[in-house]
Amino acid sequence: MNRRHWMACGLAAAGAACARRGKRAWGRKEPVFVLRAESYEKDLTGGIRRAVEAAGIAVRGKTVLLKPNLVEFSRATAINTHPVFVASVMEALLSMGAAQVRIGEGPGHRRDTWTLAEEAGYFDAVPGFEERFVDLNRDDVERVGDLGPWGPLWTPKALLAADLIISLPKMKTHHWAGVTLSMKNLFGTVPGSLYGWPKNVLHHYGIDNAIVKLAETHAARTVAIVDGIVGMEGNGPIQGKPRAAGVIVAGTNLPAVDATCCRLMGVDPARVRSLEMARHLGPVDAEWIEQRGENPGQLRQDFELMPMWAHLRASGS
Amino acid sequence: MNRLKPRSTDALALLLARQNADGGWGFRAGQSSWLEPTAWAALALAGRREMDRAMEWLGPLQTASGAWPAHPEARRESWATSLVILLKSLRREFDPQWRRAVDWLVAAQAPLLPDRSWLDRLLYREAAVVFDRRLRGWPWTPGAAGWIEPTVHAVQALEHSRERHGGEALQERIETGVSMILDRQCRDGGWNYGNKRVLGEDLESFPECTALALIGLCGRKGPAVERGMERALEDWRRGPRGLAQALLRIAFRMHSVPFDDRPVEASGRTETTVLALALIGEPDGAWRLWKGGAA
Repeated sequence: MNRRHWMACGLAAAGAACARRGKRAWGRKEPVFVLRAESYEKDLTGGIRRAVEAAGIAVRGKTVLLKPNLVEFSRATAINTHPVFVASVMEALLSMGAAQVRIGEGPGHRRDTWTLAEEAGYFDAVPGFEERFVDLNRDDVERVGDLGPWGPLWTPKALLAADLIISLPKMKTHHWAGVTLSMKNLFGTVPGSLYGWPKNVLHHYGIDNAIVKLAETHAARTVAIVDGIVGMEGNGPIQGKPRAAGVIVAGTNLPAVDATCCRLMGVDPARVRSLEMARHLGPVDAEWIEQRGENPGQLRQDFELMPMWAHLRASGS
Repeated sequence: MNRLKPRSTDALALLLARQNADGGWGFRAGQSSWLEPTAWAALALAGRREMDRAMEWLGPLQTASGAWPAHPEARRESWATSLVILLKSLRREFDPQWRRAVDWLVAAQAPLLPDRSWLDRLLYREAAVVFDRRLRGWPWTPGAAGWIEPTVHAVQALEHSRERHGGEALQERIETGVSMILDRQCRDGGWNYGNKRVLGEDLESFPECTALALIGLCGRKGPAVERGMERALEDWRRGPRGLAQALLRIAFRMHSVPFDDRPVEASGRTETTVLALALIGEPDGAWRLWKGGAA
């Protein structure tokens, strides 16, 4: 045990004591499906079809926008939603009767979205990627709300044109937010052309506030399918280590999906501030989540947490 | 292999065809006019009537504060102000509109961010994000933190305005901006968007940001600039494409650094900014204007 670990233990204890643990009735159980998936190779499309059906995600006749997590690229780690995962979701949805499937992302650090997508393997893995993709950093925009003193909240028109948005995050820890899942993934819908690279206004507004604001803005038309086949632990969302969690998580309610992911990562969702703040959008407590498929408790793998986030660790193991 | 379907289509023809009826450009064909692609397209077409039309579109968009928004509907001050000042300076349009914009830009600066917290001191023995807080560059939007790209454009806009605007404040802001750019240099010699070290770990540079930083440091000498240029040449040898390639060519030319040039591939899918920057970086392109009289 080094100095950092001892301090982390102290912080964890303090954090746990301070954590808000107010359980709240949601009124109905929200379904979240957990599927074991060991690799990106073996019948992923079939698995995703199962996940979409079991989670109750309706796609027939709908125009769908897939929102993967495409941030930076490094061969050394697993930053982005795997391109094969995105391709498999697209294939599954089209086979299930989706009228149109587009893919949209607005990376927060890299200016050249197309070249980043190419480096990350999206052109190779996703058939017709060039025709399907829209750069959300540079789409025309519409005002959908406000960010207090930081002015209006603008959103890309491609997002508003979709009947259904599917957040496709990578299951990761995050050095400023604790975890980054389906709600945090919506940061990529904020147009860099107005807010810059990075979209620093969201940080000034408060990361947790921004996560909840974006979820509030888009939740009614947004569902989630999480790439947890290989996630990221430690110093995410960029510099962490790959973590083979071997799961896909799908659901129609974003907080319920994210809370389930937290349980799979060995994180207590009630200690994640943005999830606590998003309780008006969906359930966080297990009794209000109808777990379908695999039992998250049995697939739990404790993702490494940075010392500052040690207090998020769920009890037991 | 580039998957952006390179064709022999001429970047100039593509750019000309994309100008909207209002005189501006979108990021792609058929999109509404935005400030950024319009500014770069106008610079790429310097001296042509298309630039005049672009300037006519830009003029009335100036806000009451003297700044320009990133999009006409946004009506909020933005980093794009620097690009318009640069254009007006290059056109020798030192009019009241230009002066109000420069005044706004000189006054605009990133806020003084709080020093490292007790928690950072405990955990990392350094700030969570390492940089010199006294060196306040320019933000993308007013009130936010300072970053490399808006600072580079602000420094360039003020450099080109210095002679006609004058004033110690302007000169001081230029020097602070340059110092800020140097302070944010990554350990690998290049730059990224503006964070060199976070939570005890060094961050890697991005070639497009390295190029931008070097453009901002045009005319400056010293070991940091040399290290940056070495990094840029290393990035170039890796065969960057798109925006990084376009900006690196401009940086090399502005610093008079020889390099093995190759044209930026352009297609109907290529973003307007990349098309325009590709043209600006051609041997006889507008990089000469951007650099100033030294070309």
